[in-house]
Amino acid sequence: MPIILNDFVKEVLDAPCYGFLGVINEFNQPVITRFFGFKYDNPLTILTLYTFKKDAQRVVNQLSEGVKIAATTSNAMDYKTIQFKGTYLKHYDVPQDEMNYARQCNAKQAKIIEMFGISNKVWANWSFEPSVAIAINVKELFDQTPKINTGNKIN
Amino acid sequence: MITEEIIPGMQGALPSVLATVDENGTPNISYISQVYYVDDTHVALSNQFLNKSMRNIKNNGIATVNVVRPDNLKSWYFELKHKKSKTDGDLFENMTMQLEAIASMTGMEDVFKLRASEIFEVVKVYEVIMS
Repeated sequence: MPIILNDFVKEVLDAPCYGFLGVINEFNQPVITRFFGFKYDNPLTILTLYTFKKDAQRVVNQLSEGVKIAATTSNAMDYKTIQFKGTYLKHYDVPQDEMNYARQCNAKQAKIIEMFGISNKVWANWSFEPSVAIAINVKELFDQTPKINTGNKIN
Repeated sequence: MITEEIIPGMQGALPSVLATVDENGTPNISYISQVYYVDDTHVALSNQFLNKSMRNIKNNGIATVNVVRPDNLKSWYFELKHKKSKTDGDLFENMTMQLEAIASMTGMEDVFKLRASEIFEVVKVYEVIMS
């Protein structure tokens, strides 16, 4: 069922968009990778995350129908944080139109990072051209902002 | 296993990411303030708000964390196995002091309170592949 996004969620999603997603491997060990940028609709059913193929390979290796995925993103300015949970839908090489969108997200994030004293040159080493998009059927959203009793389900 | 190159990524300057898994195979990803260096094969994670993550860890002992050096953003993934929780002693006190410093830098003095130091064995270390 689609999830209606409230103001809190929309605020975090409109912030520079960087985070981690994870699955588990055959040894029940979580494997994670970073993403820059995501695409979503409101109401939310599908969330698409843009990752870097070389770093995401351990995650991609585990992707198959029904695999459970979690993804967490945070607004670095106020620490408001959301976690998405759902199941794997598909993954694909990032086409040009989505590449441009992901680049915009990366550029927004670079400006924020600079405010934390991290130079653009250092940021360029850490960030990446998105190469694999991973789409998730989102089932649940959680507020994971650092505070007492955090982790409440949003939807 | 934890080399000198990694240790600057364990000062709490940037938050780390903690991934765990529940009994149904659902991963859980949250941010944590500290991955504290204990020795070359052990780290301690700060437990301030960990609820679901700790339930998962108590259930299966498994976790993965990411640490990032603030000076060059080089980073690593650690695969971890939980050993014990500590709520007193030198390690706990040292982590409390470091957490107070982190809270002060981030304006979170009223929010950050260390409930426990979670000690893990480091099973594997992977360097994050940069661009």
